[in-house]
Order: sequence, then structure tokens, then C-alpha cells
Amino acid sequence: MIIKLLLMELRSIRSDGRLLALVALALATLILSTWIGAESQSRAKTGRAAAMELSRQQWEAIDGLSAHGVGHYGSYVYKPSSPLSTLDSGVMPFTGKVVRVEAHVQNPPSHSDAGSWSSLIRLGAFDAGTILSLLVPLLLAFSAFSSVSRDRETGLLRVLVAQGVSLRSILWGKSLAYWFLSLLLVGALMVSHVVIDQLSGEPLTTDMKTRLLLFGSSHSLYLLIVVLLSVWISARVADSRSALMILTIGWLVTSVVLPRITAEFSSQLFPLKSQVTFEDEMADDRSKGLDGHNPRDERRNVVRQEVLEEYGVEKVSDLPVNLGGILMQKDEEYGNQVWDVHFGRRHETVRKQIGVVQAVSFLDPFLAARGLSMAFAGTDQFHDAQFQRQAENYRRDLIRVLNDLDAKAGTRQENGRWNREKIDYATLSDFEFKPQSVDFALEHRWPEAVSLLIWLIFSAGLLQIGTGRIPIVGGSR
Amino acid sequence: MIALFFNLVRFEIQRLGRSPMRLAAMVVFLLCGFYAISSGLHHVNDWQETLKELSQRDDSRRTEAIGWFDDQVSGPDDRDWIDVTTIRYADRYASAHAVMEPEPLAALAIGLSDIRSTWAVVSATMGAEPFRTSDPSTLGNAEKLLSGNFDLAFVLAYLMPLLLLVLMFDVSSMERDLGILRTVRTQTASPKAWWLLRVSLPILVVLILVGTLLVVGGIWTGALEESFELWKTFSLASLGYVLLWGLLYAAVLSAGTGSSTAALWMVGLWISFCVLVPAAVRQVVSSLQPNLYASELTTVLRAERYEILLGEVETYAPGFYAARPQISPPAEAPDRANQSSMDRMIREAAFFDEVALVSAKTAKREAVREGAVSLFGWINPAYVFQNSLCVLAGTESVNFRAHRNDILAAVQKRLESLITLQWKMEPIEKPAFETLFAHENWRRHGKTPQQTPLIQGASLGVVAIFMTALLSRNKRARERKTGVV
Repeated sequence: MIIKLLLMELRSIRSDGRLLALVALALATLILSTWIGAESQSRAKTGRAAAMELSRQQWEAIDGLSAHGVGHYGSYVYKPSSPLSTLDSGVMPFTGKVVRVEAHVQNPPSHSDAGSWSSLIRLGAFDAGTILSLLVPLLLAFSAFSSVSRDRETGLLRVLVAQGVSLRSILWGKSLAYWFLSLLLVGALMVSHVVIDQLSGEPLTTDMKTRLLLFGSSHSLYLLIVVLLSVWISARVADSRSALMILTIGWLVTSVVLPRITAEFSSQLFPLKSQVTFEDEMADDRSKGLDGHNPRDERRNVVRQEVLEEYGVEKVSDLPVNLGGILMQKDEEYGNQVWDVHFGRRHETVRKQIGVVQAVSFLDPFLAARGLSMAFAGTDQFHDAQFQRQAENYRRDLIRVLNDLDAKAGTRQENGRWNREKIDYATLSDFEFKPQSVDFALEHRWPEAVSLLIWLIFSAGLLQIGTGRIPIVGGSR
Repeated sequence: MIALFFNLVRFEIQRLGRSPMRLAAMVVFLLCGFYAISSGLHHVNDWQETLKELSQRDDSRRTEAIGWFDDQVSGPDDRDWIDVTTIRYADRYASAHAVMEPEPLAALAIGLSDIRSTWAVVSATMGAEPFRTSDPSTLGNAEKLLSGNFDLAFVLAYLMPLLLLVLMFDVSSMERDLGILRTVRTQTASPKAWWLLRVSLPILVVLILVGTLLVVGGIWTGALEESFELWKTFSLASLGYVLLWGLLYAAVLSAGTGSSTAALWMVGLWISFCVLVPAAVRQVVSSLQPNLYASELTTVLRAERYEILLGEVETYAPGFYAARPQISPPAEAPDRANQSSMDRMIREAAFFDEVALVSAKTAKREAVREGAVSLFGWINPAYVFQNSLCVLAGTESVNFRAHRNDILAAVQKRLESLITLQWKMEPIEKPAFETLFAHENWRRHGKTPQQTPLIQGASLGVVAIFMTALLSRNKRARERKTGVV
């Protein structure tokens, strides 16, 4: 019976030119956004390659600098964009794309898109993630708001029930019909993405295919929830006009107002220290010691003494190594500890803020869908933090190698002076980003996945057991 | 006419009283507005707290250095390499910042102030300070930035049209749904006046609500007292925006459809103007004017800086002296320390020129991109309105460009002062050291936007009026032809 009702509803949808036009518009928008996204990504990829090449040329042209001087000269690390960022750009426009990697200083990524755009950047993105989580639900709500109430107003609902069709089957049939429409959109999007990737000569890896599948599945699940709730409201509310208003207000609250209020609330609940305090505290810890009782000069003297003892000499000028390089590396390692403590705290606070949003996603499925969408596209805060972490690890490795060269690549002259060897810095490799697997996304976003499942059970439950108070006969307007 | 007006007012009040949804929408709108103002104030308080910390940082450094001058020592006992009478350490200890202070209106339109840095160190020897402004978005929670602000500008630009929609969608279309429109027309002396008054009343209600929020916001943030002219423009723009949406919705209602269809069209307009068009414009413009990996800037900050610092000073000296006719190369060879400092300043000056150049190029690129966005302003009213409010509040990109120019100007002044002091080839004295404090630059950047947004908004309003007339005419022709009202 449900299948028959589904087909009947689909026929009704097919005859509604207004609705078909909206679906066609959504489909065109989705495919267009994917195509424009792919074009932009291709440009970004070319731009990144050019920037890396230029940076490499500058690196290889270094002449006349000591290894530690090269550490100050530093290198640049460029953030690659995830292949699925064309589907959902997530936080990427708001985070830096370039990290200056240098000795002593842990620079945060800079040159974000948001840093050079007007406030237009705050008005949403034209990507598939936004369209599927923000616009298509509204489209479905507009399509389904009168799905039951119209039948009630025209008397068709009474006829169907009188013929022995259960109200539950009617609601399921209608819901599945509207969901079928949304599946068409999601399916077309995924196919177009795969085709564009094939045409670009860079087919997706297995991990990316899994991510794409999960991206589509999470959106399909969210859209099913929207459809079930829309159809139930259409059935439960006395007339189409009220159903439309309730759905519009519901969409507004869940998709526009609550996400902003939750974000504000989370940052007030777990505030981050101001940048000035953050920088000053880090500088303090670096110079005075993490415990406040082990200042830099004392640390240096201890290291100096240890090195002298290790080589069994009394004067620095007798050392077979360059003490400067060793001291720099020890100071670097201390700085790394300071960075780990301070950035660790900061990331923990951000994690708590996101935790608040994840908790609220149990009240607002839009937040759950958005979180999953970004995570599967590899563009959420957690994925971005991985880039920062890898860039920092690269910095530590690079500076350690340079400090080691500074300490050991040379000979002690008879007059006690350290004679540096000429070093070929071109042999030092560039940063290579290792993308996270889909497990990483699931590990961090399971609350949203659970939230979506609970919402699905709840909305399906409404249709299954919440039909008792649905009016069959209503006043026609 | 006056009797009709009062009858309609009485009718609308009754209708509101009997429609809990409408009343709830109005209350929720006001609550959202109050929350937005409080949230904006919270943001501005954090901003001011940061500025206080910067001020304390400056005071602490300056006081420490002045203490050395008073004690007639050149630096602290435990760091003998610090000599505050030399330009390098004078520059460091005459701590100063170029700061973008918040306008009172910034609490009502946060704009980009939570994304971009509002301060930079003023120093001529510590690299390219205009671009050393850290990226708060990267150090913070980017998912919060993605969600967007909940400030009054958002409430007015995005929620206000929805409130208007809730109040207007069944004006006259309800009578059509109920089949009593013909009766209303026959019982009303002037159906046109009846329609105009019915359409105007919800707009008037929203104008009153928006006006209330603006006054409360003005008093709460101090804008009414401290920057009345900006607040006035802010308020007029907001009220004009209400009228614009009123006209757009009136055009929809004039088509003479049922209330559901009217609501669909209105929501369609809202989505188009508040979501689709801004997002599409952003996508198209960013595709045409991509923001790539800032290679030009990174090259200046690293490769060119090192080239200048390690290169022959003679390469830069002629240009240096040519640009500063008031000083000339020393007649006698200075001592090693002075020579080194002079060479350093010549190099820093050359580097500063490079930074100023790349800064100008970056600003030009941003302006070109915004020009491209502005071309779509005719169909992008929500963004144009939000942008105008942010410009007034000093939190838009154009204000941040002005701030970057301020940083450059402050750094240049510091550079020139240090050059003048260095070319005297004498240790810096306390009074000269104190003159360096004057390079701090704390300024508000709110300003009245250009006329273009007003013209674009007014043009859209005119189009709406034209559409209203056209659709009304079509409706009347249809009614005459079919006899169905």
C-alpha cells in the first residue's frame, strides 16, 4: 500500500509544474556549484603548486647563511585543499592557508580568504553542503507543507481513510515520495562529482569514495528527517497556511538562528584567552620557564655544563662541536613544550566549544548535518587542526636538522673558532601533508551521527505512533 | 480616509490579538534584537579588554625603560646586551601599537572585527608589522566564525524581512482565500486606499519595532551620545531597508494570489536576496578573483627581506638619501656600532618601501574584488545593507584597509624618527625616547558609506513599485476577464 501511495504522490508531484521547476532549479544549482567549485579548486591547486615552486626556488637559492640562519630564514608550508572541499568548504575560508616555518617562533597559519574579503564571506557559501543542508530542506518543507492538509481540505484524505487506507500508510507514502526527490538531488550531485573528478584526470581514492558516500548518506538522512517532520506537521496542523508558517519558522530557528546563538553561547561558556594574554603568557613561559623558576639563562648554563662534561673538556673553545647549535636546539625543545602546553589548552577550549555545538545538535539536526558534512568533506575544525599539527611537526623536524647541522657540520680551528662547512640546503625536503582517513572524521563526529539517528527514530516514531490526534476532516479555506 | 485608517488599525489590532503566531513572532523578533545587542556588546567588551591589555603592555615596557634612564643605566643588570640608548632597543622599549578602536556602533554591527586583527605593533626594526597582525580566526574557533555573528545587523538584515513576511503574507490574500474580497471591495469607498493602508500597517508595525531596537541599541552602546551622526545614518538606513522589503512584499501581494502562494513567493524572495544571491556572488567573484597563496607578500617577507638585509648597503644608500634630503651621509666615518646601526636603518627603510608597495597592491586587489561584488549590488540588497551598517560601525574591509594604512603610517613615522636620532650619532636621551611614544595610533574608523548603496537600494525600491503597478494592472485585467476575484 505504501508503494502505491508513494507512486500516487509522485504522479501528483509530476503534475505540479511549480514543484518540478523548483527541483530542477535545485538540481541545476547543485551541479553548477560543484562545477564552479571544481574550477576554483583547480585554480587553487595550480596556485599552490606555483607558490610551492617559488618558495622552493628561494630556498635553494640560499647562500651565505649558517644552518641556524637558515632556520630564521625559514620555509613556507601551504595548506592543500581536500578533494571534497568543492562539496563543502567548511571552515577553510576562515583559516589560514600559509604557515611560515622558522626557528624559535611557532607562527599560526595566515592569509585566510576571510582576511582579504569583505563581510560577504559571512553570508554563506554556494557549495553543495550549504545547498543540501540549508536550501533543499526549505524546498522540501515548501513542497510538503500542504501534502496532507491539502488532501484534508479537499476531502481526499477522508475518502482514502474511508476506503480502509491507514493514515500511517498515507503519511509514509507521501514522505517517501518527497524523500525520493531529495535522493535524486543527492544522487545527481554525487555522480556529477565523480564524473568531474574522472574528467580532471584525478579519480578519487578509496578513502575519498567512502567519504563521498558518507557525505551523501548523512545529507540523505537529514533530508529524510526534514521530510518526515514536514509531512507530520502538515497532517497535524489544521490548515496549510499554519503548516507553512510553522515549517518556515522551524527552518529559520534551526538553520539560521540556533547555529549562531549556539556558537555565541559556546564561546561565552568556554572563553578563549585574548590573543595578547595568550602571546604574553607564552613569551613569559619561554623566558622564565614553564614553572616560573627555571629562567632561560639558567637553562642555558645547565646545558652548557652538561655538554662540557659529555665531551670531557673545560672550555667551550675546546669542544669538537658548536655549542651554539646545541643550545639553540635545547631552547627549541623547551619552546616546543611551551607550545604544546599553551596550544594544547587552546585546542582543548575550542574542542569544548565544539562539544557544546555537538550537544545542541541533539536539539537541532541541522547542526548535526552540518558537522558531518564538513567532517566528511575534510574541512572541519578537527581536520584543520591536523594541518596545523603536521605543519608544527615539520617545523620541529626541520629546525632540529638545521640545529644539528649548525652544531656538527664544521670543524674547530686551532684558535678555538668554529669553522662552518658549506651545506647544501636543497637536500632538505618540503612539507608533505598526510590526509586523515575517514575514521578520523567518524572518531570526532560520532555525536552528530548519533544525533541524526535519534532524530530519525523520533521523526519516524511520530509518523508511526503519532497519528492518533491527526484530524481527518478539516475546515476548507 | 481617516475613518478607514482607524477602522483598519482597529481591525489589525484585533487580528494581532487573535493570532498568537504573529504576536509570538514580534516578541521573538524583539528578544532576538535585544540578545543581538547584548551579544555585540559582549564582543566589544572583549575587544576593549584586549586594548586595555595592549595599553598595559606598552606602559609596562615604557616604564621599565624610563626607569633605566632615571637610574642612568642603559638596560637591566641581567641582560647586559640591552642598550636602550641605541635605536634598536629604543624601538623595542618605546612600545606602541596602531589600534583600531571600536566605534560604539560596532556592538550593533560586528562585521569582520572577530575575523581580522584590530591591532599591530609599531616598530621599524622588527619586520613587516602591517602584515604581522595575527589571524585571530586561526587561533580561535573557526566553526564559530562559520556560524556567523548574531548582532543587530544580522537581525535587521535577515530576520526583519521574515517578520515582515509573517505579518504581511495574508494581507488581502486572506480575504481572497476566504472568498470575501468582493464584499470588502464593495463595502469600501476606495479599494485602492484600503489595500494601501492594509499593506502599510504591518510595515509601520515593523518600523516601530526596528526603531525601538535602534533606540535601545543606541542608548545601550552609547552610540546615541558618542556618535550621533553615525547612529542617525545607521537608523535611517535600517528604516529604509524595512521600507524596501515592504515594497518588495507589496509587489508580491499586488499579484493577487492566495496566501500560501504569496508566502511562497515572499520566502522565495527572502532566500534569493538573503542566501542565494550573496552566496552565488561570492562564489562567482572568488572564482574570477581568486585569493591564492599570497606569494607576492611571502616573497617580500622572506626572500626580499633577506636580500636587503644581506645585500650591499651601497645598493640602497643612494635611494635612501635621495628620499631624505634633510640628512646626508656622515662626513667622517662613524664608529663600528653607529655604522652598523646606520646600515641597518638604510636596509630597514628599503624593506619598508617594499612592504608599502606590496601593501598597496594587496589593498588594490581587495578593492577590485569588492568592486566586482558591488556590480551585483543591484540584486544583492541584504549584503549591501549589511555592508553599509558595518562601514558605519567601522568593522568592514574598507575600514580595515584604513587601519592597515594607519599601521603603515605609524611605522613610517617611527622609522623616520629613528633615522633622525641615529644620524645624530649620539646616545638616545630620555626626552628623545619619550617622543617615540607619539607613534602609537589609536583610532576609530567608522564612516558614512558612499552613495552607491543608497542608489542601489532606491533603484530596487523603484523596481518594486513598478512591479506593484504592473502586477496590479494584470490582476485587474484578469479579474475583468474572468470575473473571479
